[in-house]
Amino acid sequence: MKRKNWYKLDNAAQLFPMVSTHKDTNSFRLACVLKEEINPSILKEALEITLNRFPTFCVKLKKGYFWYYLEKNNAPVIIREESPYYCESNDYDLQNNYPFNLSYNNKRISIEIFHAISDGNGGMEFFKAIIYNYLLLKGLTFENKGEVLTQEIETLIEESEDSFKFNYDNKIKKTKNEGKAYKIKGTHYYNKWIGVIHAICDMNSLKIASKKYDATITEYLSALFLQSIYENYLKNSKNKYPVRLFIPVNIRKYFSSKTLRNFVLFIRTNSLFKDDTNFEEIINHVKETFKKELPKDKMLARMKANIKLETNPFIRIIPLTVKKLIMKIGYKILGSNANTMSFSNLGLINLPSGCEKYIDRLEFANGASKSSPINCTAVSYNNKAVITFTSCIVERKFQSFVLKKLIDDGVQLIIETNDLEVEHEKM
Amino acid sequence: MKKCKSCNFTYNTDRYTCPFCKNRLEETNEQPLITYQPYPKFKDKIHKTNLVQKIFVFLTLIASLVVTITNYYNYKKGINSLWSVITLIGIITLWSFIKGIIISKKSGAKRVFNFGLCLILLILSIEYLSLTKKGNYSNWSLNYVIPFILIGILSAINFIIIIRKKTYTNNVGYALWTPILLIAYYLLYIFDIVTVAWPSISCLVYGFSSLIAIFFFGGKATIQELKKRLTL
Repeated sequence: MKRKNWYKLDNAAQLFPMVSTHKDTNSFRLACVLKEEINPSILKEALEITLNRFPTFCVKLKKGYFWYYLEKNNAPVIIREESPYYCESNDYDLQNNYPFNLSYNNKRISIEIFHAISDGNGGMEFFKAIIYNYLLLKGLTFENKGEVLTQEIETLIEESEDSFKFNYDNKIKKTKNEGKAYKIKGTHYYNKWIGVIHAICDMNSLKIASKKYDATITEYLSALFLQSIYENYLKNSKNKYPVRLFIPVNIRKYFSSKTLRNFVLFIRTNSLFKDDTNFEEIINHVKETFKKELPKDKMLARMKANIKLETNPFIRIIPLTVKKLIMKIGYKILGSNANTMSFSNLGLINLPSGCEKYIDRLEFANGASKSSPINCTAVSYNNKAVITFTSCIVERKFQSFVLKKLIDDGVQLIIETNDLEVEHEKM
Repeated sequence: MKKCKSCNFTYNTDRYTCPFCKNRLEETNEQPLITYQPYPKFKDKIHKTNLVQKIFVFLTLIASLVVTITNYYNYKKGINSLWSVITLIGIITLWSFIKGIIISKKSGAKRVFNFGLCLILLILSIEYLSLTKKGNYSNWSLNYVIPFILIGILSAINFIIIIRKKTYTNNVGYALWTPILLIAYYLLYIFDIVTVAWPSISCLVYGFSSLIAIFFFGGKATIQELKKRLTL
């Protein structure tokens, strides 16, 4: 099959190269902890095999005169030992211009992917294939029933399409912009360090806890995070800004899209707490928000807002250098300022039966920055749900509250962290 | 496995204290239910300092300051010449040559183009800012020197394109814009800014020939490259 050797960035991706900085790299990390030590040379071979199957990842980011674009990358891949810094760098020169960074450390394989090439779901398909190919190269055999996109399964044209453009409906009214949100303040770690706390939960006990409130796991965790913000930062304060939890939504299922590029929109909870707000009120508010915001027409309205910006003829003809400046300002006002925190849940990940004997768990994490100092993510595999808190501030009262509440609701969990005792900068 | 009795949290960690309440963790007899895979410890980022570059930057700053202050006082005494500007542009051109041409790893065409622009600016400043009577310019830079600098830049870029075919996509942008610059230079002759015909005509002819050659020999690759870069 003849492959394209270049791609326009999809609608969601256009923004990221223009607004990402060393402090906010707009990348995310996926990790897999195996039950034995990683062999780097086999891992490199697995990556090379996987890149052949995933042409939308075998790219480098280039500047056009009006927009960024992706071009086929023929350079050899580089894998390295895991860096202690999370989502640290957008210096892709060090990776032969590949907009991702595959690393290993003892039993963990990690990949940090720049959001310009894919979202969490697309990135997870790529990462699953790397892990699967790695296990195959180690001499193991499994029966793949389509859980992993391997060389045997043909690369579909739809995997590289910009699904935003294909599913955009001009007749729907676009959403209005939301104003400024409450911002969590704290003491920042030194040198852009990010503290990571994983809560590895027993999936069954987590399901039981969320069922107690007649909610999905995402709704339950969202409500927990909101309650923690309220209890730790807003109770008895004179805050006038709403707390907005930014929750990405995978809209592939709405439109039967097979794309491996970005195809995700979002919902935001808009919470202004009264005195003595309790958890039941918060979770009901979250469930109402989900019910109101998740329908397809709401998603189409959000999609229209994004597409209109890209297709505006005045925006299109502005040279890239000027466009970058405008987008940076626009992103600060309408994007990052509109969110208090983000929570991204990749849900249950499927791998071929038999892999669970060799894989302990999967992990997923976003970065953290000054505008969103604490972010939360979740992913589940093989009866383990890993909730990850990434934070660029030293204070841990938010995480402590959430974990205590989970235990009180009967969730069995084990906590792991990275090095949290790093010097901090006085604000 | 370890446990914090105060928080009731179970940890899979090599820490001695609870990260939340800072109390001592207690070992439990439970078998770990999950594989323990610690993170690498914090490491301060090492910023490599290039001492030679730092020394050159320092000397450049001092020289620029001395030159500017001297020119300022000379100007006040009635010597109406902005020679310090020529010196500053000369320093920038030298930097462009050393960092841009010799040291840099960026695309060859970009380095040549940037250096050429600095050189043009230097030549213009030598003619128009040096000690001459106001209005008494012979326009030697615009008439003779700059057209051939432009031809030199384009020749160097074409040479790079020919010998380094693998980096064609990185360099072709400059190979397309520089001929357009040469063709546009002819407009200066049409508008009587440049008074000598043959250097401008040489620019025009060479620019056109280069442009045609890029499309003739570059073929589909050139058109696709244009398409990528001009996508709206």
